[in-house]
Amino acid sequence: MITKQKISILERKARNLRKRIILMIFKAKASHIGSAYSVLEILIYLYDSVLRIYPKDALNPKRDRLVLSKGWAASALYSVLADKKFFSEKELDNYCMNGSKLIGITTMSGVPGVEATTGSMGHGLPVGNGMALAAKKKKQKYRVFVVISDGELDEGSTWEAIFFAGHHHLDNLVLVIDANGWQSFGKTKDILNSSPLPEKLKSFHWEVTEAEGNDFTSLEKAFSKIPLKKGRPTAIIAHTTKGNGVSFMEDRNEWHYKYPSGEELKEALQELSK
Amino acid sequence: MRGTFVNTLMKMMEKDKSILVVSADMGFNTFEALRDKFPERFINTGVSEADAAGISAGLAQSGYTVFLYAQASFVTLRCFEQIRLDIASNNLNVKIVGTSSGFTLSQYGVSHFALEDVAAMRALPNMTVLCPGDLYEAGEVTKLSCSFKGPAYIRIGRTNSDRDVYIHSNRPKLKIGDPIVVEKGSGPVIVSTGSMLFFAKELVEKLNTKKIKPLLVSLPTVKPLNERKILGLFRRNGTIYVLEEHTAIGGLGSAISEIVTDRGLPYRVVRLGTGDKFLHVAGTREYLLGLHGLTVNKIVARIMRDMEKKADFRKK
Repeated sequence: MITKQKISILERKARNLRKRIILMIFKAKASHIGSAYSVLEILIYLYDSVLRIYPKDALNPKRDRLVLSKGWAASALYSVLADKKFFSEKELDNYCMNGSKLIGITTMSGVPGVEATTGSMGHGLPVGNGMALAAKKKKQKYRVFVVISDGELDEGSTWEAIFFAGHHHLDNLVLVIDANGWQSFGKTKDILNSSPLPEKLKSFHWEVTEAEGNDFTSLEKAFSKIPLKKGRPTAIIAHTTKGNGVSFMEDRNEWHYKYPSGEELKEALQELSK
Repeated sequence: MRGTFVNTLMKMMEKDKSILVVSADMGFNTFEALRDKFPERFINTGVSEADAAGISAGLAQSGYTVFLYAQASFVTLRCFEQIRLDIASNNLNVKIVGTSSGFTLSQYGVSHFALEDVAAMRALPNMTVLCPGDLYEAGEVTKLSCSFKGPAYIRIGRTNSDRDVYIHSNRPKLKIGDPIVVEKGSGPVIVSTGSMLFFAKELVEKLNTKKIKPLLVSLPTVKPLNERKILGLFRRNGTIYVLEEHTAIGGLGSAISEIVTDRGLPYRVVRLGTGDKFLHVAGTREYLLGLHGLTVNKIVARIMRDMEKKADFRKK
């Protein structure tokens, strides 16, 4: 069980990284803060407690791979990678600036810790399949974690990949669905309802569990038993809140697109400092 | 050509353990021996080209050299975005092999014609595009595709409709981007890429009966081109006819035109590819090429007309 002390450390980290992220987004006048806040606890928990990482030797062959398929949440990943000392925290100031490798959507531009070029939806899981299959072929122990959005479940390539991973018994593959219920132009349940998702995944020979994706206790419970079953890939449906942590952004789709005004920045920083 | 490709690949796989084959459920009557000999190194993803391209990228990122195989129309166009983003943008060692290119599957209609694949692949940075013209070239190109880091597209067609043949009299020495002189001549220049080489030979024979001696060049690379060597074959104010079983938009004809116009050179380039239209009929490969004006007789007549016009112009 995760201790109360550990939870409060992680929660403090999440608040601090939210502040860092909004400053990056504000400076760059960038989009996708809602997505970054939605997935942040998942990334913090993975990098803190699940992934085998080598921040000073980012390409160590033994590392676990994390593919952020929802690459538009790049600001969240960069903030976590900097926190883990993959690169200097100061580098975050360059987010989306002219010539910066910290691109608004994760790209294999040479940023240590970024494992795939993503953000065109439905690309992460097929690439993750290839990495997981390579580990099996090479008899290596690393695991592959792919984080996708609800909207990516609309893409055929995601389902091709789900089909493949189940058939090939890729139990070194973990799919995390950052299920905040929103996609580009509305609520997922209204646009293309993926329900019942656990049943769909199970019918493709996956093991499925669910978690509260912005809650470290719940994430710990979900990640503690992976793979859920030997011989089968694991899916974790992480129920999250888009824009989580800043009350005026929570569950509001406009924060997929806009950046905060000076007033909004101040208000958000105040709330995050409480 | 498929058989030559597979036999060459199997020999390469014996030496190079890093080679894997990923097929989107294609390979009937082609890949059986390879699959049986290397069961762990042949991955059939099922009929899912996008996933297959993504998987190939993931495997290549993990250190493998991957041959991604399916029919030319599907393995390039259906998963174009995966090729662009997952493979080409990361300069990964994925060698994409498209079979049944052009009108090979002439009875099957538009779904199975591959006439835009070269244009699509050529537009991608990092991509090498290779179109072998006979069995020698098919083997050489397959070997060459592993001689550099990064992605390649290998376009496999048929040398002619009845059977695949050797057209070069000896195994040519191939280099990426280099032209191969097939027939020396002082008349117009005919450049052929890929599966048009057999046709080009017939064309030259027919022109010879009219006392025209063209220079015939085979160019199994579409990208990158050795511009210096290619331009070295052209003569001032000469005409260059570029033959390809592909739309005249964006293939080798376009590539050569671009070189000539960018440099402002005094050559005329005539693109002899398929026209800007879909064909909604069945037939033999020769029949369908004919509907695009690609018959030996029509092109002979065209070349003779062009030569007469030029002669008239000089007289004036």
